[in-house]
Amino acid sequence: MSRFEKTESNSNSSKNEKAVQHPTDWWHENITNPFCNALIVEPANAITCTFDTFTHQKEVHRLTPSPVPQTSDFGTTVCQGAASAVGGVLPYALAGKFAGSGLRFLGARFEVEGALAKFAQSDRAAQIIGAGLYDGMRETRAGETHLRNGAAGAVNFTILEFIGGKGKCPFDRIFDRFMTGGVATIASAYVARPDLFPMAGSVKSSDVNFNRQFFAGAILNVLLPGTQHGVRKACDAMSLKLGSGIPIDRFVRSKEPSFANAFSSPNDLKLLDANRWATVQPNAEVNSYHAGKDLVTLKDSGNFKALRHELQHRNDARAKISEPGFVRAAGLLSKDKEQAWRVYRSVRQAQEVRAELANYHDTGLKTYAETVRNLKESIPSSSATHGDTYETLWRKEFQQFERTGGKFRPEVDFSSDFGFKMLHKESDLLYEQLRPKHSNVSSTLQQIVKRYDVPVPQLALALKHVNEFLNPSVVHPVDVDADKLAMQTLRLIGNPEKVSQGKHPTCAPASLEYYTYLKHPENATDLLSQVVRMNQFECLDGSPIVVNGLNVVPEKYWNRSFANQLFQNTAVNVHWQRKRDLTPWLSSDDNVNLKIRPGLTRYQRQWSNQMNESPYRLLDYSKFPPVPIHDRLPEHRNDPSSPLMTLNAVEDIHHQINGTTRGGILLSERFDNAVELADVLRERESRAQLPVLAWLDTRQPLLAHGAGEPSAGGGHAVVIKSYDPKSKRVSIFNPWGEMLHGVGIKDLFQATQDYDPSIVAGRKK
Amino acid sequence: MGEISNIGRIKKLPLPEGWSATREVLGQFGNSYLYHFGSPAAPDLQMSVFYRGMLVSSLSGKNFERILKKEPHQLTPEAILSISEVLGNCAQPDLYDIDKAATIKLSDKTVVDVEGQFPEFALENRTIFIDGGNDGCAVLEIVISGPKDVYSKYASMLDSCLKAIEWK
Repeated sequence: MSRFEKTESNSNSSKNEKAVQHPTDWWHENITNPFCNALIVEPANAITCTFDTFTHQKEVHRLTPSPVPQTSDFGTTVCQGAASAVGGVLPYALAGKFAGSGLRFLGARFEVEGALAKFAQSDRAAQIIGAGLYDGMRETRAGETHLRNGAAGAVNFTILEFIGGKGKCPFDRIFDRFMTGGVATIASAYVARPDLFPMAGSVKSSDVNFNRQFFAGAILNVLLPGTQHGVRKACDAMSLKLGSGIPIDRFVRSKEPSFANAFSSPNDLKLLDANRWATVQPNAEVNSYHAGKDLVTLKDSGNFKALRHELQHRNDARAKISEPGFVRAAGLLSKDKEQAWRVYRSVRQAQEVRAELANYHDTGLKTYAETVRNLKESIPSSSATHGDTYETLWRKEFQQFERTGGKFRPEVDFSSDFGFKMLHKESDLLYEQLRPKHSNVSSTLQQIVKRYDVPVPQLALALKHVNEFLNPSVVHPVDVDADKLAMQTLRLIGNPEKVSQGKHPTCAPASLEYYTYLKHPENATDLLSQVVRMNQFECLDGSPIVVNGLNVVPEKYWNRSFANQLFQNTAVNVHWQRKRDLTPWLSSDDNVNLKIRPGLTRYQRQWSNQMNESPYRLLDYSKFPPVPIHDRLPEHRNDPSSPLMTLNAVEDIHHQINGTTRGGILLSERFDNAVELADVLRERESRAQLPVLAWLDTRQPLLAHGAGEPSAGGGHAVVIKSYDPKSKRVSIFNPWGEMLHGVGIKDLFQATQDYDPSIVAGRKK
Repeated sequence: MGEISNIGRIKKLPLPEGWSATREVLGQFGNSYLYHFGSPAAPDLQMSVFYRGMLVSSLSGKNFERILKKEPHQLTPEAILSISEVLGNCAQPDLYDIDKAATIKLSDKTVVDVEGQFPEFALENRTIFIDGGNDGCAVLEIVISGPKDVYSKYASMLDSCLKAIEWK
């Protein structure tokens, strides 16, 4: 800013002060002149001065600053300072912008990483360097040097960038910035002209108006953030207009919080890190990555899935992963053109599959393999660009590849909504099949399509499995109302909160069911499809799980749907039919036979007219008649319908149905205090590792209610769906058929503790 | 003579001669409890006190309360529908044939009294639905269930026991 502006001589000004001044003259001298000097004259002279220095010329191109009178009048001082600030803020903001562009250019050119990359992308660093360079370039006055001016500018803006503006209300923040700006200006004056400050607390008299500088610095600092923002927006708008895109970090920051949340998993952050110098052009014609321009284009700027896809293309292009394949195809051109085409095609297909798999980083092994298969099938016929399918596009590229003797490399990779085609196909099939009996199928399918939290290909797969058991040509081993089951399943896909354990002690498998419909609906429907068509489910480890008899006859009296029934009792059987012994329910210390035969211990429904008791029993079918397992477990004989699930058992079942999940799906059972619990949840939330299953005690206040006897409750599995670290509240799915929102961390912690009636009795006393 | 004591809202409910507690099932789902009572002389007949362990929806609870606040009366089909969640299986026409649904007073407390059959199991049934507290959302049930011949033999005896109920 115009810290040390030359003013008119005092003798003239003192005479002029006594004479009556025309208002227009006052306005020109005290507002217009300092404004124009700061906005135009000083920046112009800074550029020309630098040019003259390098060309060893002396003030050839200098503009004469307009006169600004020295004054002791406070009001006039403030006006001059304000005018300087208003005029000077834009040049400083522009200086910061240019410095930032320069830093980013260098960062991208040398592909710096880590702290250096953060520095190069930092708007703060850019502003400090820009201000330092600008002040260093400016004309020097008596007692000044370019170096000290530059340092003063850097010091000034370092203080402005890092201190101040932190008040709670807007007025506080403005006042904060005002004071910081004024103080920073005086501090920088010390750096530029230490001779003016011979002793602490004293200032030498000079032609420097410190009051004016203070106000100029103060007001500039208030105006600075808005001006910086405006300059950045204007520059970005121009870049976008020219089609050259904006840096990816600014693009992601400019999006709504929902976009940032959707793009926040560890793999996403890794992808962003690897592509930190990418530029993004939103609202383009197509989703693509242009290798030649190193530019990602997005049709819909909110489409984070397309962004992942294109960034993966960028990764591939820069790592030249496909180059060996292209070289091999080129080598085959002269020998076997058909083979060359097949190789070229498979290279391009693999590129698209890899790019699309960037959207599947959290998927389990089971889904991954099937997804790769489906992508390989669906990509070639999907629309790539301008009405061409990928197959057509690749053919056209191959012609160029051939013409150039194998030298051609595709410049542009496109992404398509691969899954949508399949989703629409499966959805249309279901609609046609179900509409005659279920008029609300359309709204149910709409709910599914709106499951934006699940990748489209997974939703498409989920519907495909429903179509499998709905197919009229499929003969079901048991008489099943397939339409009704399909509608129940579709409702669960659209709204997993409809999962219920009913009147069964299956809270743990029901919690897993909710988790599966939430994260992997395709695995839930695959399970149902296998059981309905074959009375069998194949686990990830290849074990066949038999689900037959009354297990596949719809329940009537126990308050859960057939879809819930099939998933939950199959899940229990996934665990028990693969077990070989009765640990942890018995141990070798119990002096009993622990062994059970795999496949012959089954959780099986019995005929019952007891409508308020679950009719399921764990039975040992190696004996005739089958013997209840609970007969061998003294502590559990009075609870014969319990499926004997531990959280470790649930994790085992989850693995067999869904594959592995990063971070696991269980919350550690014991915490010493609520703070520890909050820390774990915050960590999981930041790593996108929610939801998670937890074990609560229903006798604690969170779940104890109504006419229940305290002794009636006990361990209960729930799903902690989400955690808000700001409010320290969670949302919980309770398999009784309810969602609990806004649960405080202290209440949750208490619910994880074992209920102790003596504590309650003590409180009552 | 045996009695049921201190279960939910029930302070005391006398049992017929020769009847006693047979079985209990606690915490099977929610905070549920289920206490069975019967007699060796009539093994197929049982009286149970049942709490389903979780609250019904607040709408159902409000409807239940509203019905209980009125003077004892027969329930219309619309009223039955409005508390179908409370009545559970008894409100499912494909599972249960209703003979009678009305509110009655048992020792100054109004309850919903439903009688009918579960045709699939050939069971006669009478279920008393009680507001267990919590704005009509915690529903306690006294369930009497058995084959027709045994049920009719003990029906009036069990009715007398119900009329002698004492509430907390």
